[in-house]
Amino acid sequence: MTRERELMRVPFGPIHPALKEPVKLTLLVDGEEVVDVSIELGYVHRGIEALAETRNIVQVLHLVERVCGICSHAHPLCFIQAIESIGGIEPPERALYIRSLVAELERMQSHLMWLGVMSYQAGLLTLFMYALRVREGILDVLEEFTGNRVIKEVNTIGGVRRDLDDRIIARMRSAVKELRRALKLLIEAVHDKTLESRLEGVGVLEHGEAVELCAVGPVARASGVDFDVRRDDPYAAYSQLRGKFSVIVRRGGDALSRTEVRILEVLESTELVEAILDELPQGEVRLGKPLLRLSREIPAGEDVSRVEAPRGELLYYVRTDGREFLNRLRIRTPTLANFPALMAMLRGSELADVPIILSSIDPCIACAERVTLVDAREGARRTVRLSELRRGGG
Amino acid sequence: MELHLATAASAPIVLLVSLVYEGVDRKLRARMQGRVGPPLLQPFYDLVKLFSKDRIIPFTAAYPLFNYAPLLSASCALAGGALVFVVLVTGLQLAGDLLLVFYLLSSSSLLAMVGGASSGNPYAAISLSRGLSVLLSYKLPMLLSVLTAAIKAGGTLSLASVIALQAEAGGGIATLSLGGALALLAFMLCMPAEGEVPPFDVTTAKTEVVHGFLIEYGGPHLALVKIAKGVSRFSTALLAASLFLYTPARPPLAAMLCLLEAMCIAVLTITVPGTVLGRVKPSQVVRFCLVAPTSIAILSLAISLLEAGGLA
Amino acid sequence: MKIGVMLRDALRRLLGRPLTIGYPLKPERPATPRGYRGMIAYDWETCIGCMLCLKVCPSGAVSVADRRKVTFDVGRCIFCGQCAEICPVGAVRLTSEFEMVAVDRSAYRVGPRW
Ligand code: SF4
Ligand code: SF4
Repeated sequence: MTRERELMRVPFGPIHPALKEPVKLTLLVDGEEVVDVSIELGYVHRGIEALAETRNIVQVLHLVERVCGICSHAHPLCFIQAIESIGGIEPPERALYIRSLVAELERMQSHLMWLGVMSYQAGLLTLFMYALRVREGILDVLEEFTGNRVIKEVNTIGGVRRDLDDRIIARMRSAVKELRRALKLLIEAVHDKTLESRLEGVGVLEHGEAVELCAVGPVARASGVDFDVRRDDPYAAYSQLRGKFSVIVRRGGDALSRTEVRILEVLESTELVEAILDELPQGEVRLGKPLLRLSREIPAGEDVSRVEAPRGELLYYVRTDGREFLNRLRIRTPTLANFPALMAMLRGSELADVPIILSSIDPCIACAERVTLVDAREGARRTVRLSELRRGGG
Repeated sequence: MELHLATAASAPIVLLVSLVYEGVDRKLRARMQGRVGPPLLQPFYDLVKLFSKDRIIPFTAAYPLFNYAPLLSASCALAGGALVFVVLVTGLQLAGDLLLVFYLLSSSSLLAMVGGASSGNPYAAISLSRGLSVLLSYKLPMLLSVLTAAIKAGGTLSLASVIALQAEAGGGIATLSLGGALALLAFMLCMPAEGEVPPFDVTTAKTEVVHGFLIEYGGPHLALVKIAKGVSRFSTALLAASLFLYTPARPPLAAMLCLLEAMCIAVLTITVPGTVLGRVKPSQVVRFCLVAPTSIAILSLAISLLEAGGLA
Repeated sequence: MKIGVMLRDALRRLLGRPLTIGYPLKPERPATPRGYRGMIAYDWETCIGCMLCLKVCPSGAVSVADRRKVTFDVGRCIFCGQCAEICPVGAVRLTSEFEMVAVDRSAYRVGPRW
C-alpha cells in the first residue's frame, strides 16, 4: 500500500485520441511503466440484445447488421445461420459461396482499416492514408455489389439478397489483383525500422496465457493458437474451400506478430476470393418461398452459431418463440473475448506502448458493450473475475 | 538601442515567414498523403480563430506560470529568430550572439513545456518529463555543431563573423570542408526533434500523451504556443542555413536566399520525416540523439579543430 | 531493416493528383453505383396497401397514412431496403440519391400526395 501511493493513476479514456470509441482504462503507472490496469465499459451500451427481443426475425436481421460497422457481414451471417438451423432451412449452394465471398472481402477491408489505425497510433499517418486508400478499392466493389460501403445487407433467410453478375465478378477480380500488388508495400512498410521497433516485443501474450484467457482470432493466432472457425468448424462455403486457404499462425505473441498475422490473412483472403469466384456454382441465390412465409415457419427452438469475424470468433445464441419473434439473443463478440488478454498484455508494458497494444487487439468497443469487466488483482495474482462476465449481460 | 529596434522590426517578418512555412508544411504533407490539404494560409486563419477565443485556465493550474509561459515562450522564439534575421541583413557584429540565439530558442521550448505542465494535468507532466530528456539529448549535438561553425570562424561565437567567413570564402561552411558538412548533418538529424514531428514527437504525441503539454492550452494560449513552436523550428532552420549554407550575395539578396534555404532545410528535415516515418519511443529518441548526431558532431568538431590547427 | 519505406509512395503522390475531392461536390460528381440503397422513392398510386413494408421495417420508419397508403420517415430509415424487397407491387424503391441533408423535417416525409 505504501508503494501504491508513489504510483500515478493515469486515466486513459473514456475520451482519448487513441481511442475511436469510448472505453475507460485506468492505468496505474510507475514512471513510464504500467503496473496495473482496469477496464470500464458501458459508455456506448446500446441495448441491442434487449431491442432484438422486441422485433421479429426479419427486423432483427437488419438490427444485428448494425451491431458493428466493420464486421457488418459477420453478425447477420452468424445470426441467420442460427435461424436457418432452427428452421431446418438449407440455402442454395451459390448463396453460401456469396456469403463466404462477402465475408472475405469484409475481412480484407477490416484488416486494412486496422493496419491504418495501428500506424496512426504509431504516428505514421502516411501509412494510415495508404492503407485506407487501398481499402477503398475493396469498399468500392462491396458498394457496387451490395449497395452500400459498410452496411452490406446481403443476408436473408435462406440465401442472399443479391446475385453476382459478370461485370461485378470482373471488378472484384481486378480489385483483388490490385490489392495484392498494394500489399507488397504494406508488408514492407510494417517492417520499416521506425514502425517495426514500435511493434516488436510489445504487448507479448504467451501461448499459455492466450489459451487460458480464451483469446480469439488473430490475437490468439499470433500467440501460436492454431484455431480458425473457418477451418475447424466450417460454415457457409468454407467446407468446400478448405484446401484453398491456410490458417496463419505466428508464435511471437507480440504486436508485430499480430500485425503479420493480419496482413497475411488479407493475402489469404485474396486467394480465397479468387477461388470462390472461380468455383462459384450456378443456380439460385435464395429459396423460392417468400421471406415472411419462411420466417413464419421457423419453430420455437434455440441454437448457437459461430463464425470467424475479422477480429475473431463471433458467437450468437438465439432462442426463437415460434411466432416470428425472439425470446433471447446473446452476442459474444471477439473483442469481448479478447479483453482479458488485453489486460494481461498491458501489465508491465510501457506507457508509450499502451495505444499500440490496445489497438493491436483491434478493439471494437461498441460491439463489446454488454458487460462490465472488473479486474481484481491482489499481489502478483492475475485474475479476471469471470463470474462478472457471466453476471453482466443484456 | 538600434539593435532593439531592428530586432523588434524583424520579429513580424520572422513570424510571417514561419507561418508561411507552416502552411507549406501542411500542404506538402497533405499532398504526399494524397489529400487536397488545407489552403496555404490556414495557419493564419487558425491564429485568428484561436486569438478570438476565450482563455480557459484549469483550476489545478499554477496560474501565473500557466498564463504567462506561452507569451514568454513566443517572445523568446521571436527574439531568437529576429536576432538571426537582423544579423543576416545588417551583418552586425555581436559577441556571443550564437549562444544567445541558442539560449533563446531553448528557453522557448522549455517555457512552453513547463507552462503546460503547470496545468496539473498528468499527461502534461508525463510530457514534460519526456520533453526534458529529449531536449537535453538533441540540444547537445546541436550546440556542438554550432561550436564547429564558430571554430571555423576563428573561435568567435558571433554569427556575423561566421557569415563574414563564408562571404569571404565564397560558399557555405558545409560546402567548403568535411567538418562543416558533418556538423550540418548532425544539426539536421536533430531537426525532427526540434520540430516535434515523427519520429521524435514524443512530447506532443497525440495517441500517447494527448498532445502532451498542449493538452490544457486553448484559445490565445494555444495560439502563442503554436507561434513559439512554429517560429523556433523555422528559426533553427534559419540558423542552420546561415551558419552552414550562407551564399554570398548582396545583403538583402543573401538574406532572402538564406530564408529560402531555411525553408528547404525545414521541408527536408521536418516535413518529410514527419510524413514518412513513425514515432519511436522516448527512450529510443534519447538513445538515437546521444549516439548518431552526437558522435557525428564530436567528429566534426575534432576535424574542424585539426583543420584549424593545420591552417594556423 | 529499412527506413522510410513510405517515402517512395509519398513522392509519387506528391507529383500526382490528390485523391480526395472537395465538398460540396462539383457537377461532375462520382457516379453512385446501380443498386445503391439511398433515398426512398414511393409510388403511392401503385401501392395496394398490403402493409407488408410496415411489418418488416426494422426502424419503424413506415407509418400508415390515409386511404390505406403508407408514409416513410426517411429520418428514421436505415436504408436496409427490406421494404423495397418485400413490396409485392414494387411501389417502394431505394434510389441512388445519397445527399439528403435538409433543414426541414418535412423533406424527410415520403408519402402519398393527394
Ligand atoms: S429501407 Fe428499411 S428502414 Fe427504410 S423504410 Fe424501408 S424497411 Fe424501413
Ligand atoms: S409493401 Fe408496397 S404495396 Fe404494400 S403497403 Fe408497402 S408500399 Fe404499399
